[in-house]
Amino acid sequence: MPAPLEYLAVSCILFGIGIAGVLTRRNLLVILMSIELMLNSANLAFLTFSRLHGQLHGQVIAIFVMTVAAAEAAIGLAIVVALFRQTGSVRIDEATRLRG
Amino acid sequence: MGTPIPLPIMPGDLTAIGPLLAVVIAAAGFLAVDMAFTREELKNRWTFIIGIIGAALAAVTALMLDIGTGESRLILGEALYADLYTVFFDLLFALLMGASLVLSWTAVERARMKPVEFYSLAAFSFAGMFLTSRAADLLSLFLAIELLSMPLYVLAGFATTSKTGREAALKYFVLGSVASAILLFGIALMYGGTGSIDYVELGAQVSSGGRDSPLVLAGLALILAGLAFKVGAVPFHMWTPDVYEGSPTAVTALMATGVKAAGLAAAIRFLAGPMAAALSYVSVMLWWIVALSMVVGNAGAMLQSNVKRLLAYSSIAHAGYILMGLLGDSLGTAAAVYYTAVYVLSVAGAFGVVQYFGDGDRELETVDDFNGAAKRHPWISLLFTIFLLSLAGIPPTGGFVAKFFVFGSAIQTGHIGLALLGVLTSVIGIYYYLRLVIAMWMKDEGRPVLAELSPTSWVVLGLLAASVLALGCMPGWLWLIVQSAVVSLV
Amino acid sequence: MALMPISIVLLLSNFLSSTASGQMLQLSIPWVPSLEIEISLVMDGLSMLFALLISGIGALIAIYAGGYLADHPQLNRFNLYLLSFMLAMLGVVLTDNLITLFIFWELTSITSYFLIGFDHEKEEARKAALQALLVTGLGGLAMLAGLLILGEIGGTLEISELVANGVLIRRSPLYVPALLLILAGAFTKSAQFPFHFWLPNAMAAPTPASAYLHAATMVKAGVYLLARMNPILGGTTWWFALLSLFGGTTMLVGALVGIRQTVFKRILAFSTVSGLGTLVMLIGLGTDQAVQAAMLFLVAHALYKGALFLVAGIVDHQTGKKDILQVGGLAGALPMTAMAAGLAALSMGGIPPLFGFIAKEALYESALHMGYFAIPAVVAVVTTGILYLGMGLLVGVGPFLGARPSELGRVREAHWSMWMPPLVLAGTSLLFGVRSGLIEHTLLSPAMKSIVGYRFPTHLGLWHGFSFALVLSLFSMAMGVYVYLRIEDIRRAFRPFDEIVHEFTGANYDRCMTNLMAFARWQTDLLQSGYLKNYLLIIFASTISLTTYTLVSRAGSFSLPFDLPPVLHEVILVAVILAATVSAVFQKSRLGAIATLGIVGYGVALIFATFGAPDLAMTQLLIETLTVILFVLVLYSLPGFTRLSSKGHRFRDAVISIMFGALMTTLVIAALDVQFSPSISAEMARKSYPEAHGRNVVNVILVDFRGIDTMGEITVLSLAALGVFALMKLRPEKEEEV
Repeated sequence: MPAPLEYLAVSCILFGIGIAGVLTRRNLLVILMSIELMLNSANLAFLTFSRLHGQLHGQVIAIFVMTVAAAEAAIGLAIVVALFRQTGSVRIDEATRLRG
Repeated sequence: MGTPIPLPIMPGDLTAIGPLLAVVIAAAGFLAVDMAFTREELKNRWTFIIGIIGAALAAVTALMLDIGTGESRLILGEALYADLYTVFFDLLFALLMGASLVLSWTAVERARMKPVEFYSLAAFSFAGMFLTSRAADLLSLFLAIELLSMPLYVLAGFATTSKTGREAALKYFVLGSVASAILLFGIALMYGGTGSIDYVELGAQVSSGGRDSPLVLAGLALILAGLAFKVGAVPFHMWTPDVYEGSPTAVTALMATGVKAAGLAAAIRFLAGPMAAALSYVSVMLWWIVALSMVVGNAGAMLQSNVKRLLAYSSIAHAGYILMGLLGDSLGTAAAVYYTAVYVLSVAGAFGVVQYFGDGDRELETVDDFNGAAKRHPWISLLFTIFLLSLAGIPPTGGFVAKFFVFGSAIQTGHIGLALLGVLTSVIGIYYYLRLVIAMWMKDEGRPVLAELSPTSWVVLGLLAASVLALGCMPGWLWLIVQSAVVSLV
Repeated sequence: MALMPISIVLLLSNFLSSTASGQMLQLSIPWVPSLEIEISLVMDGLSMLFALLISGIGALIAIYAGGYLADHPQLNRFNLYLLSFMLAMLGVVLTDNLITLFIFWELTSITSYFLIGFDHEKEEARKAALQALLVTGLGGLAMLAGLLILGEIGGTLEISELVANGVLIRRSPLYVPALLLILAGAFTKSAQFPFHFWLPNAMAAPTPASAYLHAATMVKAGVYLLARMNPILGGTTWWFALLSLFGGTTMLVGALVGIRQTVFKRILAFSTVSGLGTLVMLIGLGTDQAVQAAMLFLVAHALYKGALFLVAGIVDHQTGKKDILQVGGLAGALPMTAMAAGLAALSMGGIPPLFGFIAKEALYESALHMGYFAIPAVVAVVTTGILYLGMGLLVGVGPFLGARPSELGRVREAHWSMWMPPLVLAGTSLLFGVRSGLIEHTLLSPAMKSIVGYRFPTHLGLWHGFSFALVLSLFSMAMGVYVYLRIEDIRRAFRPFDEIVHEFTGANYDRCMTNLMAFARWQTDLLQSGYLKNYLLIIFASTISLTTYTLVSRAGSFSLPFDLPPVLHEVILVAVILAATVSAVFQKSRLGAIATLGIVGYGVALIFATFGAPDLAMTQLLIETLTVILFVLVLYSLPGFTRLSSKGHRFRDAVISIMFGALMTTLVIAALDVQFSPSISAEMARKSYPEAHGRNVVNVILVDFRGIDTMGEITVLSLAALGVFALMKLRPEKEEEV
């Protein structure tokens, strides 16, 4: 069984991929997925640390976070749909009316 | 560990979360109203009644809390605090909820939102706010912030009349959830470094750790970034102008008052409470956040012609002034809390007034739209002027006293340069707030239209203005309360 | 309207006997008790002098305004502003607490803002009002910082108690910053060069307001503050150098610029600037004679300058002319006004037997006794004295003599409520000149005592015997008349000087405003582009730098758990891997990118091998080979890369990624260092059944130990459902289709 440290590394990498995704993708849906990735990488970190510390706190937090992530995803998708209905596009670089 | 661990729910705990329960029940009540009635008038009437009862109940239960000797009490399995600090913010949020119910009604209907839907979502957000000031560990903090933000993501894009609402919602949502993710990852690192999420234990570990764990430091920095986002401080502020401008005004009012206050309540509790030892690790960063917020916020506001955008930029600057208090000692923390209260009251009043100006569907958008307001509507212009003068920090309003407290504590703790920067940027503040005053009182050509104000609205606006003036003329009593509240933090 | 100031005068005169005997009356009301801020009033000689000037002239101005603005629809509003201003001004001179002093100080700025902008239909008036407010407001806030520092080093906020700690304060390392900040407040308020430009512009105010604020009272608040601070901050080289330098420069510049103006109120404004400079300089010199001269000059100036302003107002009101070149020969039409004007002008010029003469004598006398600095001081004050007479004649005598221009038409004498106040003021100048004993012991010497801390003998009078000062006086009178007669040439000669001064002052204000606007626009364009992408980028970049800085700043306090000396072949391997990675990023074709990535993979396999994990190395080798082949097969038919983003953007994204990667690597390595505690999950498991009657530990924690959070969680879910429902229900309306 790999040491917990590897899990931690995976978690960090996932978080990084999430950031990269948010930064470089233009499609709102992909950005949503990237945000989910960031939340889940935090979850992985919680679980790893939970194991390292020999506690259950981390696992409990992870369950909470999953629910929050689900709620957030739901709202995000709703916004995507609303935006699509209005503009017919889900590309974020087209929303630049508010500025200055 | 031979001693039995007590059950998490103690008698009295329910009173301690009374305000929270009151608004959640009110939210449920709104939903029930929506289902129970079909006629709009009945829905509206009951929404208003339930909302006011909820807010009143929240205030009453907040006052019922037995604060004992003034020490902080941990309740519900050490997840939440109950002390004078929570009572203080409970009352502030209850007041905001009442004010929103009375003052935002016109704006809600003008944006073609259904009041019952608006207020049920808002009530959930208020529940989150009531939670922020009590959070005693990082999980509660995260949940509180999520709970207060999510309804607003929805509300921002809620108005069907707005061309920009969706864009505002999109920006708010994407940036907000990224900030949440950063906050969460920070919490994870902090947990990894210490094995705990309790403020008290974290504080003990940080102050006695001897050797700082890099995980704790990185976690701390990420949490600070997440909180700075919610507070709208530079360089995490970019959402503020766009979202404030694009959202329906009733929602913007909620963001400018409630969200800001809740973010600050959480930040003050986190940085000045049991974790105060950790503040020294990030104080340089906080210094920069404060300095940049004051400069960017005020300079940005100078250019704006849109009133909501102007208030948005100025809210960034105010976040800077308030956070400056945290760099000081306990006096500074008290100053920050005092400033928060004054800011919230003044902005609630200012947005309250702005919401009533407008013609049919159209709101007054630019500063020039307010030309000649005083000639046609002198009383409401006078109230607006009082709120603006308070925001500009001109005596004898509360805004001045708050700035004085903050600058004073900064000077006392040696942050003279920062205090001077604050002074310089305040002058810019005077410049742009006075543009609105000038438009109202010194230009005669315009004819802004004012929606009809109900007697209750007059009473609420009058009370807000009176309290802003009272906080400027007789600051002593609130200052005492704030000081004891801050003492209970540590 | 005038009743209130008059009753204040009467009220004040009740205390006259006690202040004259050098007593100090005090009264304090707690305001913020926990911070020891009190509203404490104090009345000593200095306060009394100022308070009487404020309320006495206030009464006359109120009468005058009743006539001047009789036809104005908003006379009541003007009176309200004027009264509030007067009360604020009285607050400034009567308070003993630094904080309340500041509050009243700012209130005078605010009320004067409304007074200057009273004729708000005029763009120029609004602009001038704002300029005055910004300049004095900025100075005032700087002063607040200075006062707070002063309170900090002096240990109290009460001025009367600070006096006792003067020595301590002057020795503090924070003395100079506090002094500079307080002077910033005093100099902006009292229109000292180079901050004086707001005062001439503020002449857009209605004339009664100009007379009251910009001659008699508000601009003297700075002088009052300096006089009040003299026992606390004075007596040092800094104090002497700053005050006499700024004051002296202002005195000269004001007079030199003023002499070539032709608009009534601008001449008066610049001469006021000059007068304020004189006062500041005298307080800076700090000798007994200088202080005496300052108090004499203060009273004389308030009397004659107030009168001249009011006269200028009458001329404007009755003829509609604002320029001295457009009027002449008005003495017949405006006899009472002409009398007031003449007396005031002569007092300004320092002609006996008016009070101005006594003040000027004292001024020359104190300049003569300056030791090393006597020669420059005498040259400066005599030049100023000459120009004062010139300006006084220009404003107070010229318009009433000579031929009357035909386009003036019929001019009638003003209503008595307008000519009476300037006549009273000018008459008082005469009265005090002839009978200086009237105020010498009741007002002036108690005020001097407040400034220097002790009482010294004074000898006021018109005749001091033959002295050098008298010679200077006669010389300056003669020169003054000469200047008046040759005014055309002087105007021409001083023209370039005027522009230089503007370049240094008013133009700087404009430049500051322009630059500020440019900065604001620049930073808004930079930060608030409207593109979500950029916002995200800034947020990530700031987060990363925040975290990195926090880590780096504490780097000394923790160590990374590595102690392996690098070996040559490892270094070479790492270098190869890095080179391959970099080249993979910059490859232009997919095939090349894949090939270089393959190199990275093989390199990693080699590292595994050197670290003694041959099985891992084998697996890595196989996987890598397989991946490369698969990639090549899949991508062979795809076109080459298309450039989606510009070079700059790619570079920027690369920087962010590298920063983030470095940060994360540090964190992972750092995690090795954490002291992990032994398992306590056993305890949770042990606790779960007896306390919560559940065997599934996680369940128990969710519903029992963290019950409240679970409730919050349920709330989150329900609101999410609600939100989704609400958003889905929305159908865009026709009008918003874009």
